[in-house]
Amino acid sequence: MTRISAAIVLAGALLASALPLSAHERFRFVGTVVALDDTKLLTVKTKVSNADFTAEIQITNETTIQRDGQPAPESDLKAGVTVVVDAWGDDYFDLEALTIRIVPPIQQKD
Amino acid sequence: MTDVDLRPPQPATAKQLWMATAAAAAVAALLLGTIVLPAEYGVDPLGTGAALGLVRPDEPPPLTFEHALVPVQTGPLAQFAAPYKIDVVSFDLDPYQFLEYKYHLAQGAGLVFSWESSAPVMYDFHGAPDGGSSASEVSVDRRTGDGASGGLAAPFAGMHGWYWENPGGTPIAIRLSSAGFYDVAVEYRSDGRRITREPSPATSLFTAPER
Repeated sequence: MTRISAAIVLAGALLASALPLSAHERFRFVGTVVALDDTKLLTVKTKVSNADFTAEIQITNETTIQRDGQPAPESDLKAGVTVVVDAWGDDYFDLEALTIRIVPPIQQKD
Repeated sequence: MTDVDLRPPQPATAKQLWMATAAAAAVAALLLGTIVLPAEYGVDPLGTGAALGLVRPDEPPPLTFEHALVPVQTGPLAQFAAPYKIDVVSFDLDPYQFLEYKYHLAQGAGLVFSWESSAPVMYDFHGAPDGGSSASEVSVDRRTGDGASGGLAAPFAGMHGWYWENPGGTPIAIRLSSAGFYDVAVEYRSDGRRITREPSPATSLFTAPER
């Protein structure tokens, strides 16, 4: 009976470990920082398929932030700064930042 | 008062061990087919991935070859049962954005191309075998430039083409012309969109003979 219980627990553990899997994709957002809150949630005003979109992207301990190829502190992510964010997630509403590059402002199209 | 059995448990018999191993393997296979393959590789043989929301409903089905575009080799000559295709496309690459454009080629099928851009871009000509993950991509030519011309005999069946990235803050235009024994072309945009094109057969260039 002990072995049957152990097998059930093992199967349950395997199932539980598999559930968080999902179809993760990589996304790139180019836009301007709106805010960075206390929970390290970065809000970026950007465009998706030529339509305005406000992306909320979680910064994690693995996220790298760069300016001119050099590491930069989170405090550099001030409102209005232009950023290129490579993020990872299930969709546009479940995103974790992999890399954030602070870049010069983009020249607007005529 | 209840008697408690304090004797050590008996070791498992060989039959019990085999049964436990078989049960674990069956559970693992079940999880592989129902959850892991749909979620990680987009392969959903039982439909459980779609039912559990593990695959994107708009994800295109896996590509399959037009049989006529698989080469039949006769010495140095590769022959096909259908005309080669031609493709002329242009793209606008917004600041700091990237896109990929690839052709689906059978192993041994040929491709010739020329492309140019209005400013230097970072590019990577690479291939991804059919059914492989992104980790199985093979990079052939990765650098920065404003154009390239070349030819490829596909080393394996799969998607072969370019990653182009705009490294700066101004838009860049890219123009590509190619010919080859491909069946489809797929454009992958950085916002997650995938656009599939069906290039025209070369015989579409023929004009009616003069009388």
